[in-house]
Amino acid sequence: MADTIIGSELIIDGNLQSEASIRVDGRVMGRVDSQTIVDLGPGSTVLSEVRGQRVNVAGSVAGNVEAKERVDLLAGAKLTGDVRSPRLTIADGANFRGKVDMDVS
Amino acid sequence: MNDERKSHMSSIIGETAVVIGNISGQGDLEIRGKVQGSIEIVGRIHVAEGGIILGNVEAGTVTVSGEVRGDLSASDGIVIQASGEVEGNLLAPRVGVEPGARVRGMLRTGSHAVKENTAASPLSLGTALSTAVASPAAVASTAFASPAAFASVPVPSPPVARPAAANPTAASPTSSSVPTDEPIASLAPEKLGKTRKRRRPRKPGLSDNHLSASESVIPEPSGGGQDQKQPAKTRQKGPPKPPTFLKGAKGHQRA
Repeated sequence: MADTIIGSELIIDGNLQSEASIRVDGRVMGRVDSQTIVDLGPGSTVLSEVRGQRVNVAGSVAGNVEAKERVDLLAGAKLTGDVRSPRLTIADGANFRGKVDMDVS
Repeated sequence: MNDERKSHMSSIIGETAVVIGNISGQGDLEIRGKVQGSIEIVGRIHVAEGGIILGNVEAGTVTVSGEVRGDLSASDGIVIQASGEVEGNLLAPRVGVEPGARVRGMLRTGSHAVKENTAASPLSLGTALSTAVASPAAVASTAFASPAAFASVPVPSPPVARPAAANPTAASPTSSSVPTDEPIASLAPEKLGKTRKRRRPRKPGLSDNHLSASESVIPEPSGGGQDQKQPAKTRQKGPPKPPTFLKGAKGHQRA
């Protein structure tokens, strides 16, 4: 279970950051920043950047996604923004519009 | 049971998390990290020990074991637990402050002390009671929480998990959703009510003891033979913290 969980009916009008894992099922009108895993559940909405060690996107993101290790866009994901990560997967059914930069050193 | 706490409507701001901005919505929320901004939810908020909120808080029920610098307003009740520290005003139909808590601000209770924006109807319980500095006796009757809705108020002492939010309908905290939370349900007010003399015609709310809260302000010298013991076994977590000197303030009882 993630350390920080934003439930499906919660709205954060601002930025969220944590050293530990974050799971978002609700709405964050700002950045999400973790030093480990960021899990954006289906139905989640993030309206700015997402950063983490690993980022799983199953919801909507309107902002860039940056990960140190990998980014996974799952089915149902809707990303409008760029991805910077050494590894990336885009599942069948994911929706993505942006640039990809995997040359992250 | 703690694991159950994560109902689909429960949210947690983890220990190392920092939210800079306002939080709103529905469901229960436990704050173990820092929030700088106001919080307005329809549901229960628990500020765990170590949690800090810099901003106003408005919810159905507010329990504080950590630190809040801002006003607290609840449509149902507020409990400041022993490790809590609040610098701000408290406004709720029922307010409890456990001995040891540090509070600085104005306190306003009573049926009119409701900020009318949350759906919950403040006092299904009989407004009479509300002058909330409830007598310790009230412990049985439980500070606040209409019986059904809040069978599961978070156990105060440990900043623990709120039992699985049994009430998905956070929208109206006082609505009688099924209190399926076992741990607290087992503390069932009815049960306690039967064993303890119920001085107040109060509806059994949460059970209990841990919430005893209210008393502190006017400690009653008469330790009634009141069994203020809290049924430890039913407690979901940790040893119950019976406020020793809060023995059934008989004197404090109010009709």
